[in-house]
Amino acid sequence: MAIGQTNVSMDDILYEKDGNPSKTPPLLNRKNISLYGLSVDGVADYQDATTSAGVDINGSPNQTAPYGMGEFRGWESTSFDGWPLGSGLTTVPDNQWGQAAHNDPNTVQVGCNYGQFHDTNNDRIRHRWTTFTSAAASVFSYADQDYIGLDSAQFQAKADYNTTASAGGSSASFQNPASFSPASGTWTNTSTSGYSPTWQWIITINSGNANTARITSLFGDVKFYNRATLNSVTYPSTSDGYNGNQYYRSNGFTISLSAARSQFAQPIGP
Amino acid sequence: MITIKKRALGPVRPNPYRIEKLYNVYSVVQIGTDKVMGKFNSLEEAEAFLFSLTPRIK
Repeated sequence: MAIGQTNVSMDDILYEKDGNPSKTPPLLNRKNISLYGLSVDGVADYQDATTSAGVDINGSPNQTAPYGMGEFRGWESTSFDGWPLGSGLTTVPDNQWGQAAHNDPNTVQVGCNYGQFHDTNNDRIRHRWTTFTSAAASVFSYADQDYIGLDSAQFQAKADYNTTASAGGSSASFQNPASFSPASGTWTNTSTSGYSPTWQWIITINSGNANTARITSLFGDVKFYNRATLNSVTYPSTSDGYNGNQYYRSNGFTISLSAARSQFAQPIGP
Repeated sequence: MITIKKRALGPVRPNPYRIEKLYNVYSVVQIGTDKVMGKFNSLEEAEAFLFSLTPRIK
């Protein structure tokens, strides 16, 4: 939420810089707010009321003297939330993503996909993913990565992968990945109207014998990334990004898809 | 000494709903309770409903 055009206070500026423009909860333990500090990175914005230690929050509309509160009129701090690197289902995508197996006497299909969408109406990067087989309902899962002040930024996403398709004597066809999926290691602009880029891998067998087809990656070898650029500034900063880089990165995921067209085929697993 | 305070960054938040596609019916399901919140004929309609359940408060 941008600072207002009138009656700008140093309090308003401090809360905006702190990413808490609603002032909830209030920043109570502070004293001696400095306009010089608010304006210039590397100079304390205020002092901790208990320890008197200076506290600096980066970001301002103009770092050059003379410094004026009027420069903050309409200014909005920017931030881009991080990527969860938890475990199990708390990651994006979840740890079951990319692993499925199915055999069926008729047409059999096994696949997975993952995509990002820049939702400017809600100030979010939306993540969507699914792993599916022709045996059961497909489940689409979602997660939101919020940002502040980056509606006009160019968001980009990237995937690193090295997947191998093996027909294994079957007559399988593959999307390894689909033709619309960017190549491994390629940053691609994120769409503001739908899930693009999306990376998708599918095995389809319509006819033929009972041999098993697979798409596999090395363990933990599939990774997803994103970043944003606004006015030549890249988000996240090195201090917020993954391992000091100016991007966020997912955990490493494993793709293990297998399909066979026979109810008599050996049980297959990811 | 100056302490650098980083703005509060939230993690990506998994959505508390998922969409299940069975044939051409898309069901919005609450994760945990498996309660079906609505059924739709397209993924786009189901997603619009799902996102209406989790609005962003700016």
